[in-house]
Amino acid sequence: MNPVLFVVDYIKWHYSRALFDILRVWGNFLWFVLHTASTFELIRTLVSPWKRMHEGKPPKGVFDPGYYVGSLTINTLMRIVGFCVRLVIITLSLLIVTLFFVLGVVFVAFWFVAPFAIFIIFFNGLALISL
Amino acid sequence: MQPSVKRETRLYQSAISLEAVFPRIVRRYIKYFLYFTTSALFFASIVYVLNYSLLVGAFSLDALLVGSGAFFYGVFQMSFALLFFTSMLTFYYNSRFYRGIESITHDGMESSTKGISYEVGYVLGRGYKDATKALYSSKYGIEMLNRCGISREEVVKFLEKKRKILSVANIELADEGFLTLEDLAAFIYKNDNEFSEFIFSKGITAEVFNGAVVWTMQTHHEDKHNSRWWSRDNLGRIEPIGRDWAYGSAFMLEEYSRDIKTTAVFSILSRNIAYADEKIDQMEAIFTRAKDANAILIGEQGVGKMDIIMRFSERIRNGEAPPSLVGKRIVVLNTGSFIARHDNKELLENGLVDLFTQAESSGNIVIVIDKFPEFLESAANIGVNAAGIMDAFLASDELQFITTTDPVQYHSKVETRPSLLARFGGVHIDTPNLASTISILQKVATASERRYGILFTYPAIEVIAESADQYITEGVMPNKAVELLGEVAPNAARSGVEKVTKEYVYEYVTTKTGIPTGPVQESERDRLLNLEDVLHKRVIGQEAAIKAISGVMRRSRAGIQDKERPLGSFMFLGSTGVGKTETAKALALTFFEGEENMSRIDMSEYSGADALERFIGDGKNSVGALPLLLKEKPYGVLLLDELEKAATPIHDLFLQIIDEGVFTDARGKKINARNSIIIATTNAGADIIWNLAKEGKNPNDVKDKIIDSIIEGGIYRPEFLNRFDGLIMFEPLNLDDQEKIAKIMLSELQERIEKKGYELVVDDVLVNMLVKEGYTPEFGARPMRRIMQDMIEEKIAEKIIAGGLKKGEKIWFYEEDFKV
Repeated sequence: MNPVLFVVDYIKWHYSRALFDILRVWGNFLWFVLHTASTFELIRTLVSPWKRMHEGKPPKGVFDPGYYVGSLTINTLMRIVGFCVRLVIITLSLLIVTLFFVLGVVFVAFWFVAPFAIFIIFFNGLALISL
Repeated sequence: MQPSVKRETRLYQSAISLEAVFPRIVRRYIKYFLYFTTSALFFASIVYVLNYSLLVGAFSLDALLVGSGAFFYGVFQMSFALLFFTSMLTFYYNSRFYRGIESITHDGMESSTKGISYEVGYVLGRGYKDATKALYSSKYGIEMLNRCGISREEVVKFLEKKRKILSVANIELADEGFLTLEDLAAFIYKNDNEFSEFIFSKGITAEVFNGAVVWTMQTHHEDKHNSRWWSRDNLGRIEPIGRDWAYGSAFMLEEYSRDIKTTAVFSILSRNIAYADEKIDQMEAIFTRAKDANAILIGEQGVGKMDIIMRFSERIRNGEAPPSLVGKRIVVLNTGSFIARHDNKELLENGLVDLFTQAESSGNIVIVIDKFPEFLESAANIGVNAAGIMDAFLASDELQFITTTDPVQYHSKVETRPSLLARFGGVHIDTPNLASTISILQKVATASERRYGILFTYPAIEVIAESADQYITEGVMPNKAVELLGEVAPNAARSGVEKVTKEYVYEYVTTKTGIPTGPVQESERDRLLNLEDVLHKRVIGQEAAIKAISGVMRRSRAGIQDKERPLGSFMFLGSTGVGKTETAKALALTFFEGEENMSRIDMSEYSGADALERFIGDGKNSVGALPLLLKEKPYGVLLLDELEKAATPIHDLFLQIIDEGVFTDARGKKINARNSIIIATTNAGADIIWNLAKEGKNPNDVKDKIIDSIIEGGIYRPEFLNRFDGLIMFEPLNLDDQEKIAKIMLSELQERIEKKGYELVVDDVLVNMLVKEGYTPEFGARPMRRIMQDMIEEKIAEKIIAGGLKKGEKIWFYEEDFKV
């Protein structure tokens, strides 16, 4: 291995192809969080009853006010439960996505300086232990 | 700029050198170690900071600058720097190593990468000028040839020989596209004649070579694809957690269903099989219909219907399917246990309504019902019209169905109900062709190789696919090929075989079926070359007939004949008692190791109006004589006695059987007759042959005239007679022949008597008597058997019963014994 050629090739890659690769993988991770939490599906069904559980219509020809009150209560409750649980997951997933986004920005920023920074950090560490 | 191989190779040089100096596996372990130390030191540093901050009463990082705090913090920084450095090298290496992988594995990300793959860079960057040597001394090339069945030693010997070199500089790179190792192997094969001759000398054709190369690289590509855990394809395999909350739960369905993954027979339909993709595209088209978006998959049992549904569900999960399918859950209804638990009309009706209502309210469920017509029938047996109950759900947008059926059931039970049929879009899954079967087998073989520590060569896989198709009569392709492979692999492992070659497979198939397969072996070679003599041991005279039969059978065994036909098909013409049946028996003995492997059908029994029904079954209760015989003896001689007496539809049926080697019985099942020798005997033209013989002419010299007169007589149609491999004339027996037959018959009797403890003396007296009394040219040798029974056997019986014979005593006959 010719070290000079290696370093030249590496640096060329580090500031060109690598950036595209990082962006793509970063995109995959963001997609993964949203996919695993089913965030968009949860947003779409935010006010649906919990696990679609609900009371149906009464049998034909029967008029029972109690039945209507009962099913209205249950259906409302189910929608509230569904809304709350989904909101928690949506919020959590959005938080994680934000975290991944911020980490990504930090990573990319560090990537730009990494070839030099790692040497500085390494020798800084060495200086610290020899204190 | 015109791309050049040299420049493209240079792109990989540094990554390949890095791999040589600092291999992947070492990098991985160093990274694990550094992950651990960096995190541990990071926490240690935090503890120092917190401790110090508590001591001084305010947050301060000063603890990291003095004493042991500074030491831990310093080591942390060094460890972090090393970790990042190693990661940078890994990213760099991966970026080169996985370059263009999307364009090879098609994992949803279209790639327009140009140039050459990492493997090509690896092979060509090793400093060889000779392209052939560069490839075939590399690990990839050795593996490719190993898959062809060519050993490393043979390759080395070839490469060290003085040859005309194909220079690396000659490799051309197209302006567009990506050069993979498969392309390079094909280029070398095409341009290095000495190499392709070397390959051919090992019995490897261009097609087999290409198959072996593709298989080798496919395994590498798949490993590569699977190791890329950060790809969208691999990340998408994790089950989404929130989906169940977006949709409902179908409690009843949970109890009576199972995951599609546990139902597929073999997960074989890799993303590269165009055939499966085409079928899945059809399913997607059905599922995006505005109305009646349900699919019915029609295909024989074992063609992989469930695998296609599984691949369909994978596409949905990976986000590769159309938007209307996002979030759909595919479950297989366990119809057996559902009906068993709901075993009366009311219970089943309510159960089905509840089940489907719940599933419908879930909103994202696709129910798979395997063997749909059978399910409807089981419900009907309890008095439930399941199709009627399902109708409203089939029409619903919130619930979808995928059903499967075999073609026969589909035609008889589904197509006959137009209202039900209208609710489904049909997808026909045909039996895959040989090439698709081979790619399915490759997947299964790779899994078996890992399990049993053996290696399958590509020719072995090819032979498994061909043999299963040709010699295994039960089941359908590709299932029977997969099953055959499933038997070969453990068998090879048990016998200590490391490399499964085609010869090994032939041997296994021969042992399993009793049919000689593969190259002709020594003992069989003698038998085939001297087939005339072998047959003459049983059949007297009939020189021309025996010669013609022997020729056909040798061609058949040498593999020159069309494989998609019976092993041999003959029509024996001639009067009764001239050796037609005896010849059939002799063929059964020679080719199928026993006379018992001859099935005889008296075709005069199949002359009435119901002949065909009795012959191939009525589709309900009776299986039919022919399917039954072929099932009992798939490998043997099928003797059709007096075929001219059978009804015309039966003649038509044999037109197809002789032509294709298969036919469809009344139940719609394909029956294989390719492992049989079909012999039809006929008395048609016997009188002409007899008259010719009386005039002293050889009927074989005027064969065409005899055939013409049979056709003119309307007994057989010319296209029917033309289908046979041979129309064989049996001449009437002359006195000499009769004498030889008499001797054979008597020696058989002698053997039987000997078993009883006596000795029959066979001399001229007996032979002359038998010929004299039994010779009737019109009936051939047949009357002799009756004479032998009436005059000789009876007299011996009398002697034994009268007690005049002692054990071991000789039995003599004199002329006076036969005087009336």
